[in-house]
Amino acid sequence: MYTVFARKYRPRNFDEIIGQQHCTTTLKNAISKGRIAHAYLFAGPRGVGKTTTARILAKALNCDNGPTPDPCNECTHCKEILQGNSVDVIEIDGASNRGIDEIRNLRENARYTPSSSRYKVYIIDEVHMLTIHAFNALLKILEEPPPHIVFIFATTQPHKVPQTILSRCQRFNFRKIGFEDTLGMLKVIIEKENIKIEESALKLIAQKADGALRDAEGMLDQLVAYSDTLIKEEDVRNVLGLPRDDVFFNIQSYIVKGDTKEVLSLVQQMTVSGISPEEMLTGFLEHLRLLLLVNTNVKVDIPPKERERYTNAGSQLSSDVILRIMRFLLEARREMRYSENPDIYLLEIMARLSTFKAVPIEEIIESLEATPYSTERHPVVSEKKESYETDKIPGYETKQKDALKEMWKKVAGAVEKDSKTLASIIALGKPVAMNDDSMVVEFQKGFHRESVKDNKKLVEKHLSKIAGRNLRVVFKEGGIRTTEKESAMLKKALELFSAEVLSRGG
Amino acid sequence: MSFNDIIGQELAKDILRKDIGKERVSSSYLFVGPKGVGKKLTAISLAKALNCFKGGVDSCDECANCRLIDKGNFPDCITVSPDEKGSIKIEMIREIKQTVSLRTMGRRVIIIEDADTMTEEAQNAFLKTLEEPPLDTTIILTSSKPKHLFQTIISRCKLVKFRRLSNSEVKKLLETRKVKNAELLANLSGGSMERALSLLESGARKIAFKFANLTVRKRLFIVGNLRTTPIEEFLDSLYIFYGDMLAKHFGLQVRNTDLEIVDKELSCIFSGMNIIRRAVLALNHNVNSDNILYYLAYNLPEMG
Repeated sequence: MYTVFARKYRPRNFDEIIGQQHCTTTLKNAISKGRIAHAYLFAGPRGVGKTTTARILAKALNCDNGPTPDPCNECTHCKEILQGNSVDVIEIDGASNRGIDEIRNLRENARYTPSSSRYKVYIIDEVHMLTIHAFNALLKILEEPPPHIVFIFATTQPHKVPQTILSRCQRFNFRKIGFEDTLGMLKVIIEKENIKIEESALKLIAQKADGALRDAEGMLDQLVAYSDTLIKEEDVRNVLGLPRDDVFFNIQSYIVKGDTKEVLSLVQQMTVSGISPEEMLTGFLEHLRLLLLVNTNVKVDIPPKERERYTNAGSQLSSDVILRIMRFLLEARREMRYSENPDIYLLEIMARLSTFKAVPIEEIIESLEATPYSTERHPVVSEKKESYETDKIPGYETKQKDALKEMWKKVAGAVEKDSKTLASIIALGKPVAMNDDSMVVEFQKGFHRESVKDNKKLVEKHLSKIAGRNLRVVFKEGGIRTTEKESAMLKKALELFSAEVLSRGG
Repeated sequence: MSFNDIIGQELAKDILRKDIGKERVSSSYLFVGPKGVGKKLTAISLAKALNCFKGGVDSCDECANCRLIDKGNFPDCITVSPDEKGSIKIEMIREIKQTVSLRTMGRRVIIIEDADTMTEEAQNAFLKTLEEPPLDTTIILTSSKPKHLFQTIISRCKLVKFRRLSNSEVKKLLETRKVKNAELLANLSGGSMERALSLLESGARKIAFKFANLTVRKRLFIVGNLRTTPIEEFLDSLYIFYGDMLAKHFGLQVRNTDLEIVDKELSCIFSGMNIIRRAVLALNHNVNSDNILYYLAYNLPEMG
């Protein structure tokens, strides 16, 4: 029967574990010095060797020649553990046996001595999923277990394990496995399995695995099944659905040129050919990350030829522009999860990016300062071209406005007796000016104005009563839809940022 | 339906056929790809191919096993789909673990549909089984939103990517079902058969188009009448419609080939798209759908 590489090449002793020397050396020394703790916690990302190390530790403790840092893998105990049917090494799936009852059971059984081995080893995988009560039930036995008990916990999310548990365990932090180590392991496998594969293809796999050896082995597995003879880099991209990296160089240069049409048709072409929009976005982010690193002269793990390509491309964009684009894309990637149409969303993102102009902040400040500053958001232009000049005494304007507002409020109050709906709409209006025979009131929304206009007579009646003289009411739209009415400042700002108005405060 | 009868997905089928041929069938697969492109169909075909009496890399569709699986009566082929609340609970996973521990006659295939709907507990409970299932079992997860799955789940499965179907493939499929307007539906489908069929049933698309073209005032008049339209499809159609405006603006192919798409300035298109995305987000956060419709009516830019 066929077993996947990840299981077939699961390390069988400490020395075979790669990339985790800081953990394995400590464990080996602890065993040879006889300083075996009663509880261990192995924390670290997926596919780096936590469960494997736990099993090896169990073997090391129970091996016939042991406790030894080099379990023989031949004695009955080692073999039983390898096959997973040792009575004294109990591997528990913490995620499915997570309740207090399971832990009570465990405590009950833990009192008995091991049947044939030296230690009774409890391996609890995915320990972060235990319920809080289950954790609490563990506390006492974890603090002072019987001498024949060793607990090994493994988890990818140590922050979910209570502090009280953490402080009772010896904690080992497993790291992501480095690119070179991953590559090395893959090379060992291809040699043993007699697989023909291009060096660049192997590197791509190691890079895509992102520090998880199991992922790397899985991908290799898949490719061996897929490809009949030599595995090429092209095959890897094909099977894993990865775009070629020159796609990203092209997208970048189109974006810099502001050639939206080309960007969009390229992106559309990629998504139609089966590369998922998420993959495109992630790939482009990775591309930008490399640009940023090359731009800032940080050491990157890429061949010199590639590096040159990135340096050339990187000179098109300054680091802070790259950072700004990345921030935008990261946010977009988060939102893409919710989108039912990620392909259109990707088009939108790319259109936004390529129409976005990089303007240095100094230039923006300068041109904003050059624009005449005005506090009036919507300068009033009367429909009859009347002027509403007020004296230029400081403070006069606001004072008069407050008085107007007060008056308008009273009108709203008076109308309320006739129609509550109308009153609430009236309250939305903003009186902006008044002269001898009329008052100008502004509404944000056109249809609010319309509905008040229909009741103009009623409003004028109440207003005249309150003001004590005959007054007409002139309604104006303070909306955003006609550009003439926007203040020069806002207009300029919109132009500078090629922005749009999403919403505005009242 | 055997692999050969499935339209499109050549790469996925190729991978699976080779796995069977070389006896490297993995114990856990993750089929990832958009909705309605044939993930489940392929999973069932794999189950048949593995259990077919005639052997070989494809199913015969004639032997007893193939027929039983087609009818859903084969004891060793189990399909789990989200419950009526739209999620796969830990109990369902526990049941699978129970089943998996028993011996089988042939090769057991467990298909978890929309695996991303597994609750956090369910995903965690599944980890150990996925990593080392019994040798006679193959678990197939299908998902259109793999982002919602744990890294630890993904890392334990053999990933098979499904792509969106090409428009001509969707058209071909629709034509075999004798659907009218196959070409237009295929253009709109975005490569998903499921979406093409749902478009056929609802009039949401045309309503959305009209809605976007009304003035704010008129939109508010008709908002009440929109309650009968499924809001997801309504939002979907609106967004596609705006995507078309974007495509039109830059001279690319539009999807709504039967509608007259006007060329608007970019800022108007962007702000409209932004508003629709906010509405979708709100819907995902359980905002009342009436409020969402009012939000859209007020804020979508007027076309006129």
